[in-house]
Amino acid sequence: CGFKPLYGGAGFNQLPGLQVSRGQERVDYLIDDALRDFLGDGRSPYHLTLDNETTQSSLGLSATGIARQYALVITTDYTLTDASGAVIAEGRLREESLFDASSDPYSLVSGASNAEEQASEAMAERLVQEIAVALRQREAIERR
Amino acid sequence: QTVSSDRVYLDADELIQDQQQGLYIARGDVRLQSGDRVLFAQELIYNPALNRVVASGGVQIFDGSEPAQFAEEVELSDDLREGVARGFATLLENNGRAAAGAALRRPDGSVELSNAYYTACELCETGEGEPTWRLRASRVVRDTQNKVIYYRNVRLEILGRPILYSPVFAHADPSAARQSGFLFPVLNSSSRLGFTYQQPYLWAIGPSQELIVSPRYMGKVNPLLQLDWSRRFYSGEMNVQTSFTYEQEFDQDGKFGDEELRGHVFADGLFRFNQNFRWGFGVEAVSGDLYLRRYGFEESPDRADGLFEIRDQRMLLNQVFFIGDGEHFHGDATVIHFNKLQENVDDDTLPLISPLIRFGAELPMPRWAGDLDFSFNTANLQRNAGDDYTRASLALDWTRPTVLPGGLRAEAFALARADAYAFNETDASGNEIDSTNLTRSLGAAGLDLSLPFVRPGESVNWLIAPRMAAIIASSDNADSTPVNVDSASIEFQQSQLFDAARANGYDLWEDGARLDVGLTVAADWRGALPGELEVFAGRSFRLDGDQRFPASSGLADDDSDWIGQIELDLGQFDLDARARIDSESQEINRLDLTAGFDAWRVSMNTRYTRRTDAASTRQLEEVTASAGFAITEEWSVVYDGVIDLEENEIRRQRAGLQYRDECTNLRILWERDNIDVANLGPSDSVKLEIVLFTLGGLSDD
Amino acid sequence: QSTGPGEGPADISADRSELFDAQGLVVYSGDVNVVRGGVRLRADRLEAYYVRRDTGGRELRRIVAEGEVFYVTEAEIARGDRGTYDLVNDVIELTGSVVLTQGCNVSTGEHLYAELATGVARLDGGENSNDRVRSVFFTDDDAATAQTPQDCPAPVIPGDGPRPYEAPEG
Repeated sequence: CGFKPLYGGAGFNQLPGLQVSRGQERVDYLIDDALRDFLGDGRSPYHLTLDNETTQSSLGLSATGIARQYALVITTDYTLTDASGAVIAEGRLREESLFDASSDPYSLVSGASNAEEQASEAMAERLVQEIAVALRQREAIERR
Repeated sequence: QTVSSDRVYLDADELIQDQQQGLYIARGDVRLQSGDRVLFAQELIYNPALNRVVASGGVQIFDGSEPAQFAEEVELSDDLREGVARGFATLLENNGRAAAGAALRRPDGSVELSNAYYTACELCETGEGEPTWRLRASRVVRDTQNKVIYYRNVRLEILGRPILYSPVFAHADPSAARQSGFLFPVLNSSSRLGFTYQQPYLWAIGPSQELIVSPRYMGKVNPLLQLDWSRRFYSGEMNVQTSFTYEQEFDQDGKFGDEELRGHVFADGLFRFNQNFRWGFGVEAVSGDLYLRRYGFEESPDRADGLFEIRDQRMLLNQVFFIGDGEHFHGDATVIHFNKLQENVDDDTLPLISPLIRFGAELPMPRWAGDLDFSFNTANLQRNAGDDYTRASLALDWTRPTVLPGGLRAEAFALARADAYAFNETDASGNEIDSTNLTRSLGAAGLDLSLPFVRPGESVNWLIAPRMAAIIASSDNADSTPVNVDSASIEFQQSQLFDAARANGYDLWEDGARLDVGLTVAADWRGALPGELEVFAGRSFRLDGDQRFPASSGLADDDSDWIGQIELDLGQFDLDARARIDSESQEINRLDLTAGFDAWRVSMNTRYTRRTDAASTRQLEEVTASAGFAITEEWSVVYDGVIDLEENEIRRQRAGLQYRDECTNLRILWERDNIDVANLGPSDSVKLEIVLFTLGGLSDD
Repeated sequence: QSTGPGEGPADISADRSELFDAQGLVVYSGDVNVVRGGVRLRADRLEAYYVRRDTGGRELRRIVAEGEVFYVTEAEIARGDRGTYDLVNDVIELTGSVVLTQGCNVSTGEHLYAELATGVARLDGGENSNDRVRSVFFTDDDAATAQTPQDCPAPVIPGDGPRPYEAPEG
């Protein structure tokens, strides 16, 4: 019924070794590193530009002004270009990871740090899925 | 092409030569260029014999980097410099306009305009309509030497109506860099402080250093002095905000206690050694726990990048950090001291983190051998009263993805980690009861299989992506299990479903074997209302190993709760729903709904959060919303609020009316803070902020 | 005899000429030159309209020129695709990529209207109003006068210029 595997195919096989340009904050590195782990190494003509913004929103504000949980949200604007610079795929993605607000400051700091790692990993996998779908759609259009 | 200055280029609709009078007359959108001076006019009479150019009709003169000059009629020598202009308006560099009946450009370069006015608002060419504000004066001198504009008997007119009058007035020529001068006042009336008037004065110490001194008069309490100092260095910048007053304590019932000096200091700095390494610091100190809230300062101000920031905990952080970032590594080392503003908390029990180090790097590996990441993480907590805790962890993280024929992605992964702990317990009076040192080595390995399918259709593209991961983890024997400090609570959610080590921190290690499964179905369609819908469902099955997670985590039982997500994006409207559904009762234990709407003139973002897991002590139900409506191009209304549905209270809300055009930013903001801290009671305030561009103003957004 | 720009007889020389007496028209073609006083008009083809004077002889009223039309005086040279010379009102009009050169100052346009009597010449963009007039002027004095310094060559006028008047044989 017309279904084709997302992974594999000319475009996808050239993704390993994807060049990424990113900022210098911790989340920027974590997403870049997770992309390399997920795609593996190689020589790729593609170039991905990431603009990541990390925010923490307080949840469950109590009567005495204390938040009881936090949502660590990463919003990423991405643009994938091929060797010639033509834009293959672009868009905005949002990933969230919740962590509890403990009364102990250290476990709060550690919770935030761990949430950054989890949300970055989830964002990297979501980016690969979006890029792979875009590559497949381009192949479908070219073939038609 | 380089324009040589001895040649004059002209183009126009019509060129007339009158040889008897020896004149060239150009008419109709005339453009005359000589060197890098350009002149536009409707008519231009060029008399080569007398070397004189008379331009008239909406004359604009651009002279290299000088600000543009406007006039009705200008008679200039042909090198366009000297001359008397009628209806002359100088468009100062960042659009401050001085329009004058007549202007004389004196040889020293200063321009004297008579019955002129100065505004930063768009000048209406046709002359009707009033700019939002203007300074009208009988004489205006723009002194280009010391970059000041002087006025004689000047009136400030708002929308054409005179408001203020003063015999002499001067302000910085906007094209000048930073000049000292008064900024516009901040007016505020609050239930706690009464009517307040804050008059900021900017002292431009140097091109990269400034100090804003703003005394604040308050109806109900003694005045306060606030100083905002900032300095930019070659390699970074530093900002300090401090305030102090001499007053008793007060709450909603009035003043009490004795008068003494009170105040606060916020400081942050960020400096770069080179492309890869930077360091910084953050200072938050205050004379008393309630000072900031009493005088309307933020308890967790916005800070420079790289700093830890924890909002809404009524907690101050003093920290120094060092960050290194390269293409294949990232690491930071931070020392943090905490200070809680809640009166019932003894700050001695709070840990001094000295240091927290997080380092990760990718090790070079041959391409076929997969990816190997090295990470080092250590935390050392010292407490004046309470337990000290030190942990150091080294880990190697290996992943090897392959795509098998048929599109099956198989990723083998393995994690090896060694932890070392030093932990000593002290009793309430601070003497040591017990100290334990232990080390442990842990490992986990697994296989992550995913087989996503797509069907690019004519108008709808489908994606179905099943995924499964089997993970086996070594067990850590009982005598080497550390106290659980950093992973006390955990929230089972999609972002950690396929993680090798799912615990929230290092202290808790989940041994045994488990199977994580997940399915994503997504569709995106074009057509009249293009959009995207993505649905995810997932679950985790513990095959072997003890139950280590708290009851309210959703991972307590062997078969975990269900986790699901629905994302709908229609361009102008997007919705994201995430939930955790109880494995036995099928009740929704956790629900997070976020929606955004942005179309026509309305933009809205709202979030509904609900935690109703029976086993948890943290029942909560809350809605946060923020909305903006653009009434016209300049006028807009904004609202944002936090509503606690559990106790039917609006915790915090703000409503504002804002006027913004290219020369003015006016904001009337009503704020209500319904947080009861130490009998301070709720606070209501209405604040008026005026910022006239190029004249300056203090606004704290 | 240095007559004013607009007075005196016009001397026309050309390779060929045809006379259409009934319409009062003579057509000259092939490097046609008209000289009248200090003004010279040159064209590939030229129609001269005249009226018969009651005292006999013909009075030239109007000239229509086509093809590399040049209007030359000592002070300036103007060139156009087509031109007309109204000898009664002493007005020359050139149209079609007009180039007006005075010493080094050069102006281009689509339509030149020159009143020889008053010395006023107007150059504009022609009917199609978005054609602009472009000029280059030199501000130092010597370039503005008639002598052409070496670095501002005068435009080349095709043909060998007006031939001296030879009384027709016989």
